[in-house]
Amino acid sequence: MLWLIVKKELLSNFANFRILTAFVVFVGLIMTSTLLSVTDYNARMEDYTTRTREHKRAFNDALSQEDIYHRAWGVVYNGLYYDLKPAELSTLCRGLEEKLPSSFRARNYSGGGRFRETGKPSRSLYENPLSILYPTPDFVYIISIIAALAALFFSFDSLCGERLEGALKLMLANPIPRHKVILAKWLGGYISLAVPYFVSCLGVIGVLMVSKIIGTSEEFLYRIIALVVIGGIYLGLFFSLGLLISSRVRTPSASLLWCLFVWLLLTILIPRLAPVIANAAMPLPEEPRLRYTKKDWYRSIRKIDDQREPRLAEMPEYTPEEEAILRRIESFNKMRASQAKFSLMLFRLSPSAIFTYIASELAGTSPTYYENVRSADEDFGNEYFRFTINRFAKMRSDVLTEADVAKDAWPEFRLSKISLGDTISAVLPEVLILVISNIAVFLGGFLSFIKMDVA
Amino acid sequence: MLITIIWKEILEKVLSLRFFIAVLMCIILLPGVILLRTAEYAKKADRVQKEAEANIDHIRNYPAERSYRIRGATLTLPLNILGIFSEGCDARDGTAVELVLWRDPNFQSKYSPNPFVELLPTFDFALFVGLMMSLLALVFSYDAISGELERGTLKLMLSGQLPRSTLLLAKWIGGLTVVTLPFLISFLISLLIVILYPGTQMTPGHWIAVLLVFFISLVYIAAIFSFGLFISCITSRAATSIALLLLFWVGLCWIIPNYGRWVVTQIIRLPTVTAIEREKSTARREAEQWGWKTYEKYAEEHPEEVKTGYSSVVYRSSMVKGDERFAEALDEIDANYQNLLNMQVGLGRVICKASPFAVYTDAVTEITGTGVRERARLLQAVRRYRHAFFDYAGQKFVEYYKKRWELMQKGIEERHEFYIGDFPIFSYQESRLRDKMKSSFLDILLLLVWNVVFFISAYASFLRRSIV
Repeated sequence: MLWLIVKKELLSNFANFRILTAFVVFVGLIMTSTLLSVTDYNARMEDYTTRTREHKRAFNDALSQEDIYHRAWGVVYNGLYYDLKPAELSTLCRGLEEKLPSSFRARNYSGGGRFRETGKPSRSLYENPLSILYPTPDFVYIISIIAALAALFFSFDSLCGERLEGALKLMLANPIPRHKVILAKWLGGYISLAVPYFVSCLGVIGVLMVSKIIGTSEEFLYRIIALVVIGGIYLGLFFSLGLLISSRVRTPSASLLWCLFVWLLLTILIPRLAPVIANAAMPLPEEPRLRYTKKDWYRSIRKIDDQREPRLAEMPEYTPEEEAILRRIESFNKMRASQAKFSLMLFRLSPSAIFTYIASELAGTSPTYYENVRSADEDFGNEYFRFTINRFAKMRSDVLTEADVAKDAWPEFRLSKISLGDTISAVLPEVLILVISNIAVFLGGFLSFIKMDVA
Repeated sequence: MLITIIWKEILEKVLSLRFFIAVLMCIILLPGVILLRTAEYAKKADRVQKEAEANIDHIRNYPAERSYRIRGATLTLPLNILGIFSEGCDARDGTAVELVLWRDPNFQSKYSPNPFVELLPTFDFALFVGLMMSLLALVFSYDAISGELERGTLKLMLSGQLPRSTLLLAKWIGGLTVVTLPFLISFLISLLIVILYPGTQMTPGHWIAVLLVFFISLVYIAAIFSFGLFISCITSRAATSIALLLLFWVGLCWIIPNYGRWVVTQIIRLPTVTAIEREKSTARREAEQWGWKTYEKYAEEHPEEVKTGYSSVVYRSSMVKGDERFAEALDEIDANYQNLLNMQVGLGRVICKASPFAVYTDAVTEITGTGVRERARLLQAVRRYRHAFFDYAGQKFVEYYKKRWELMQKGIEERHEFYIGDFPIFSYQESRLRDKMKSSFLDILLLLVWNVVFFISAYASFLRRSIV
């Protein structure tokens, strides 16, 4: 009996072109977006390869000189570079990667904490201004906004519509328990929504594999599958929401209005207002910075130089002023972290924001990644500054050794890798919230249908 | 008769649930957002003011003429108070720009202290009207005809002496009044917030711009409303009508602008930043060598000047000439890039003309000075200032050595005081309101045309429609 109603639901969805529309929305939009993403990614990757090659060559050329002094000067003259590799899954979720520069450069007199850009920092001379006005429609964008609306479309009239037509009354006059009816309606509607969704997801995985972006790497596959499954849960939530509203409202048009309002609130208002509200509720002071000038640099070298041999091999210590600034930076960072935490808490009010957050974590373009890059960049800059001071002091006192300028002695940009396990433990609470709210909304719809007056 | 129906229309809508939601959305949301944005603006404005003054002081107190030329200047881009209403792609956001002799203007972007802010786009007045008000306009118009048809009231109404045209016009006026009423109130509250908030100053030009923005918003809302009315006239059920409208809305507001501009960036490919920077560094090396060679040639031809030491002045001036050559090369590379970028942006904007949302965004950002054109203008001004600054610095640099040479001829060895207080100061003149209006004229016209077209289509289809 259950399957009979499921089948009836599926057929009626076929009949009023809903499945067709869903196919157009999912397959059409998602596939175009993925294809565009792939070409975009390939271009970025090509740029990345040339850049790294050039930077590596310059570094090696400088180090291949005879004299060690020339070697040291050569590297310092060029500066040290680090190029950020485009994240493979940024093809699905561009996330915060778009807001980061593509290359970092440590130079002898710039401290950490600001972009030493050579690539593309946000809002530079090279940017297309339309990309600021209209965000990139990647996979996550389509699912979180447009597909959510499509999911509501599938269920907004499934109960109130039939009641208006009188079909519900007839159906329930037969010996069918109500819970079976609602379950069948849920299944029927969700299947007709999920089939186009999963088909297009298969297409996406296929495109990414064929274009060799994810290759046969298992980790990426797991990440994509997790993303697809969570997307399915997310769509299920909106579908259940539509069902719940449909059982509470008298006419389909009123139901659609409510759905629209809920959609607006959950996918646009809360996510976009959350950070603004967090910023107003927990304002941050002016950011303290450890900023070095060329003058400081020379001064530090002279200072060490004056002290001569004994302390030369050590790194210069922080001065009391520097330490005070470092303490202020530390407390600022704590405030920052608590503001971010608060934003995440507000994000949890909206499934759309939760989904975007989880997706960015899975794709490796998340706020966590952003923070990692930021701290790696700051460390890179500061370490390089102190490194060069030390080496120049040694040069002046003629104690520079081969090991001091060896290839692996230079500071590195240490970007910690986020493993799949880390990602999972980071997003687990959000996934749970999504699942629990899904169940809660479904139960709400279920109960309200059981109580519903079908007359 | 018209007035009676308008009045009935207004009363009917005002008492409905959707009006309550609309009022709630308008009165709470818009002023709230404006308050938050105004507070942010006031905080930033204070900082930017201080920074700009500190920059000028810094240059004034430069110790030596040489570092003045090499180290260049830092300027802080001004803020735009109308950015409170629409953020657009504003470049006037208080960013510091470093001008260094051998490089492009360097925009010092900072990391955002809270990365969640960057994860999703912001929310402002333009977005509120562009998305929320357009949805409200649809919500108030979708059942204007189809709803009454369903309930059977349309038949009753038209069985009297009422002409169809009057009914449609009354629906249009009444419905639109109901939509714009909460909007007007919330707009006035928002304005009050901006005026009363400490640290904000609006000039008469800004006032006119804000009023213009309000006018454009009304035209936009009316266009969407007319569209809703049109769809309502050609469908027979309210549910179909709203479903169809939503489909169109998603297509027009979300898909066309986002996909359109993205597709264009994939079609018209720009050279990568790496390639451009490589070109620039080649130009830099060439210019440096050219300066050196010019000097060598001069020194060979005038051996007597090498003896007197005047050649050092020539050496400096040929270096400065090298700088000028480099600046020219930089301009040429930038101009080529800019041409391509302009093509990309232009084509993207043409595609976006199919979307009322994008047309509205375009018009509003133009008027508030946060649009594509103003941004390009500002970046151009920064480039021009770079020229002016280094021209001045180079000239002073040569003058300094000339004077030093003259003093040395008289036997005075020590460094002399040198006046560099009259260096050019960066100031940005926003384009005049008339120009802004001119550039957004087409967009406003387009919105008006849509109004007329959709209303006439609604009228035509309503006249022919059978009401059984």
